[in-house]
Order: sequence, then structure tokens, then C-alpha cells
Amino acid sequence: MKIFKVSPTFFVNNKSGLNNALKELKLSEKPAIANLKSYYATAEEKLNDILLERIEQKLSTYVVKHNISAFNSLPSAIKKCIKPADIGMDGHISQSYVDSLWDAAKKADKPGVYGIAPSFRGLLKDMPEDSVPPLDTVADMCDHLSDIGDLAEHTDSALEILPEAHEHGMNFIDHIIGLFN
Amino acid sequence: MKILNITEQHNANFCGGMTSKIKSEIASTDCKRIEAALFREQGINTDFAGNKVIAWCVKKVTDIFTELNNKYKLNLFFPQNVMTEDLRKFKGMPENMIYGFTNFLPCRLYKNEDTILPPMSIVFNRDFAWERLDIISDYDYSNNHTATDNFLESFFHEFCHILHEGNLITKFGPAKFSDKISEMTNKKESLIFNKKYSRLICRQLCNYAAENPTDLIACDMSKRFIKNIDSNTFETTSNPYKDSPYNSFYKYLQLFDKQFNLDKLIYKIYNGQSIK
Repeated sequence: MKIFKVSPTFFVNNKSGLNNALKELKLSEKPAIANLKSYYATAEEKLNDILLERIEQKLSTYVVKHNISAFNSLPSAIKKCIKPADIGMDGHISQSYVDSLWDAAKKADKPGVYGIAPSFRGLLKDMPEDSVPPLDTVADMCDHLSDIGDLAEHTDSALEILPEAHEHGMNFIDHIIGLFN
Repeated sequence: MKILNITEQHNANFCGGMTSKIKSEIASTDCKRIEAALFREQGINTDFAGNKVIAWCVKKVTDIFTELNNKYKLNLFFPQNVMTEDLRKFKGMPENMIYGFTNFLPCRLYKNEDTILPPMSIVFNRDFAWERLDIISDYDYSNNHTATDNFLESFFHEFCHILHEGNLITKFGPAKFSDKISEMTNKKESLIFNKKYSRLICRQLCNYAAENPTDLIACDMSKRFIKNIDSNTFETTSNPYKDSPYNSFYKYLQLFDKQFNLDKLIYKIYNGQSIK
């Protein structure tokens, strides 16, 4: 008995047949496509997802909320340049990277790019060790307050909770930050 | 505490396989020369719109397919067209978010468009962050979104759609192929497919493979190709079709195994059989 050795795909590959078949395909009214999406489409989508995940896991949302607010204030030319891969798993964005984009956009006279870039919370490893600010500073608190808008009103409410915070032996600033998180 | 600066952070991760040697090769890529070579050697119409990453990667995958064809007589199909476009001009296509897509049937992709996009065509997204492809590939893999962390994954993925299309069209002929591929890419059918098989697929392959039947084939095939190439030299190390559901002899092998598994599902989809 003669045994033919055939290629595994011998039965399905026929290039001239393929070319003829392609020519005979009729114009389709509805496109038939397969599109390959990356895990996160945009930086914004990833930041929002991180925020939801951290709320769900009852983790601090301070960094991601701060960065969402800073991201939303960016001019569109810079927003476009920040890709999902530039955002850390907990919402960190490198300030030095944003600054370099800001400088480039400023030089290119992109609309809305003037002054300095908004502040982002970057990875600790991006910063020199001695310049890492403690998290619970007055500046952080002001960031929160300015996001919400009415500084006077919130100072009042902060003062109102002072006795309560004191009573529970808590750190006053921690307590206020906790209120806005 | 280890302190890294931003440059190090963005270059330190080579898990996706894009080494500094490859980066320098890409930097010196001549897109026009590659476009001419692909047309001359494989008859593929290409327009990379000056994108060196896409040009280099498409040429690399084409070279790997050519080597596999010569070495293992696989006769793998090539796309007819490979383009680089601003996807925002296509109706219904999400902005700035996808690697690219494969078009299976001749059609107008957006309303009142004069140009008809031919079948067996791959369109890459001009505005994707190609310069950060290795980092994004790593990230997608770390989230089980894709089946490998290789930076060529998305290119193999689209080329594997072409292989699947070529198989179906030669098997069924133009009319029946149109019906089959329309069904496979139909949103309603994809939802049913996802509901029924997503647990099995996500556990054994990756999340994206559960999107629709065509993506299951593309994800699985690209994983097999990447597994069978040397990550440094890109030379093929063994036949990716060996012991796979894409092997014509697979139907005989599965006669001895009555249990349902992922390979059996892949075999059915690859050959256009019903999976309902």
C-alpha cells in the first residue's frame, strides 16, 4: 500500500482557489470585522476603573481622585499623550513625565498650555527620597478643599468636627482628609 | 528604597521582548522599502503611513510566516492589504483605543464612503501608542487580557484572523463564507458565545479570546506561533500546527477523546462547524 505524506494543512490551503473566491465575494451591507482592543482604551478609562476598584476594596482613593481631577484639567493635546501604560496600578502618574509633555506642548504653542502643569501624584520611586513629602500635609488638605470649592464652608465644617476628632483621640488632619475621601 | 528616574522606568521592562537592539532596528527602518519588499515578495499592498514600529513588526511576522511555509510546508495565507489609518474616520470605530482590526468582507466601513475596503485586509490604528507597545503588551498580559506578553502579539493576532478567514473561504466558497463570518462576528452571537464559554476560555487562554469565536482562534493561534519562535532571533523552533486543532489530522485524533475541551471548540470554530 502506498502511503502519501501530506502537509497537515494540505486540504485547506489552495491559493489560486482563495484568490478566485475573494473575487467572487459580494459587497456586504454590514461590515464583518474583528477588532483587537487593548485592555484600557484611554488613560481616563483606566483612572476611573482604578477609582471604582479602590472604592470597592475600601482602599484609599486619595491619589487616584487627585490625579483624575488633575487629568481632567489638562489641555486635550496633553491628555492625548498620556496612555494607560503611564498610569500605575493605584493611579499614580509621574509628574516628571507630565512636566516634559507640558514643556513640549508649550513650545509647540498648543492651545490651553500656559503656566505650569497641574500637580500629579507620582510614584515614590520617581522622586528623590529626600523630596518625598509626607502625605498628610496642609498642602494636601488644601488640594482637597480647593477641589470641592468653598474653602470657608469646609473650614467651618472642619472646625465643627474638631471636638469629635479630639474625643476619639484621632489626628485632626487625618480625620479631615478622611471626610473628603 | 530604590530610586528610578522616569527614563529608566519606561525602558526597564523588556518582558514584552522589545530589546534595545530591536528598538534601534526599528529606529532605522525604512517604511517605503518595506512596503516595496512586501508587495514584491508576497503581493501584499501596504501603507504604513511612515509608522516604523508597524512596518518593522508586519515585516517580521511576514518573514516568520514565510519561514514556516518553507520549513514545514504550511502554506500560510497572507493578508491582501495592510494599512495604517486614523480610525476616527471609520463610523462606529472607537477613537484612539485599539491596536487595529481585520476586515473579512468587502464593505464600506462608514456611511457614504466611496472606497470599498477589500476582504482579508488589516488596518492598524495610526494613533495607538506604538512607541510604548512593549509596556502595553506586558500590561495586557498581566491582566490576562492577552495570552502572551510578546510585543508582536497584536500583529500575530491580526494575521491569524487572516489565516482563519483563508481557511473558511477555501472550505466553503464565497457565499457560504459570507454567512458564516457574519454569524461569527455578529454582536448577539458573540454575547451567547461569551456567556457559554467565557469561563473555560478565560481560565485556559485569556480574556480577550472570549470576545467572539474569531478572537478565540486569533488568540490561540498567535500564542502557538509565539511559543514556537525564538524570542531573540525570531527564528522558528518547531511547527506551531503540530498537535494543534489546526492540523487536518486533529479530527481523527479527537475520535479517541470523548471529553469536551478547548481544543475541540477551537477545531469546530476554525472549520466553521456549529458550536450551538
